[in-house]
This record gives sequence, structure tokens and C-alpha cells, in this order.
Amino acid sequence: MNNIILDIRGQICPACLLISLKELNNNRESIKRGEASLVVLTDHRDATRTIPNAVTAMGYSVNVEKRDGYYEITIKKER
Amino acid sequence: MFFLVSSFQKARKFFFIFLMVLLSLVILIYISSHTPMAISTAYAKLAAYTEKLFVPEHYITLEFFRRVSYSVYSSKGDLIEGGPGAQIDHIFVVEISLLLGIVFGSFISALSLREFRILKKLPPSAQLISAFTGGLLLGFSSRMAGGCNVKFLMSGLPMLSIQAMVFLLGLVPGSYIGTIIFKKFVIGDKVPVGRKG
Repeated sequence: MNNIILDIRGQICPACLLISLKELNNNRESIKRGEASLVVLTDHRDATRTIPNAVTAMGYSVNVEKRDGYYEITIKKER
Repeated sequence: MFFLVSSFQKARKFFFIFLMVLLSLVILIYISSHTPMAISTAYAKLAAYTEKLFVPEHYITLEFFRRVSYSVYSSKGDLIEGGPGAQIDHIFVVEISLLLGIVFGSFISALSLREFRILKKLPPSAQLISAFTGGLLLGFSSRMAGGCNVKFLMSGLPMLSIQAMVFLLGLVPGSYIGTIIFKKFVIGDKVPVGRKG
């Protein structure tokens, strides 16, 4: 599976959510088919709440992991 | 470390507790200081101190810094006054301490969550410009309104103040227009809207 990395470390809300949604929309076809997943790297903790809320409502599955000094949000097709 | 849906529900519960603590603080500050919780006059005060330090001859010509923005009587009958000028008064005690508390509290929170780091990469310039312009507008308009959203939304609205409701009438359309401008010019077009189903 192809991982699309979106590094938005250093950016804060509401840019984090909007840029992630824009990237998600640009790669909608391949993510919906399960060929790719979007991996968002962010150090803005608010985004670990807003991004999962929005993409779950849009019908994706989401997973948040804490890394060293930042968070990794993986967005995939719904299981 | 994984945290899934359950921990987001925990975060919501925590948010509720946070709101209760905030409400108690607002009431406590009001009872103890006879003024609502506020912060933006402290920014003007910082500007006053900076100006007094570097261009004192210009500082004394400004009417704004001689203003008295708080003038209330305590329950004992003492007059409590404060303003944006560079002097230690009621505003200094209430607002500068809140300002320092926010910076110190954020620092402790970032340390305890191991999120503290020195910023290596700046956000894109469009975001920097919009944040700077927004901050400028906010600072300017909060001086025109006599307070920012801390005084009017967090303190004034729970007390059902008329000024806070007037403030809200300007804030809501302003935020709406701001969101449209931000989406169109800072993020770019084609931002989808999250929908159910």
C-alpha cells in the first residue's frame, strides 16, 4: 500500500484540518479503493481531535499514534 | 501508544471538567476583584511599558495611556482603578498575572506531555501573513470594543451582559467572513466539507 506523507509540523489550527482535508480530497480515489493511505504528521495536539472527527464523518477509518514530539494520524478506507 | 475513540470520549469528559473549572475561576475572579476576567488591556499595557522605555517623549503625548478603563468600588467602599498606561494598578495585578499564568501553564503542559520543542520550520508564508493580519485586526478591534473575547465571551456572556451580546453580534459574522477568506486565499480552493454518510 502506498503511504502519502503530509508533514504539517509547525502549523496550527484551522490550517491543519483544512490542509489535511484538501490532501484527502486530492487523493480520494486511491484512498477509497484502498490503494493508498494518508499519513498526517502534526505537532498540534488539537488536530488529533479535529481531523479524526471530520474524516470519520466522511466515512474513513482513522488511527492516531504519538511519536517523539509529534503525532501520526493515518487515514485509510473504511474497514 | 494507541488512543482510539474511547480516549476521545475521555477528552470530551476532560473538556467538560475544564469548562467547570473555568466557570468557577471566572466567578472567583469576579467576586475577588469586582471585575470580569480579561486579558487584552494587558497587551496595551505591555505596549505602554515598551513605548515609555524607548520613546518616553511620545508616550506622554498619548491620551489613550492616561485613560481609566476600570473604575469600581469594592464591597468595603474603596475605589479600584486601572487603565492601559504603564503603571502598577488593578489591570496590572489581574491581567498581567493571567498573561504570565497562560504562558507558564502552557509551558508546564507541553513539558508534561513531552510536546515541548523549538520550532525548526515556519508555516507557509500565506499562513504567517494571515495570522499576523488577524492578530493586528484582533488587537485593534479589541481596543475599540474595550475588551476581547476573554472579557466578553468567557466572562461577560455567562453573566448575561448586554455588551457581550452586542460583541457576539459582531463576532459571529466576522468569524464567518474570516473563514471564507481563510479557505479561499490561505488554503486554496477545493476544500471539501466533512459530511455524515
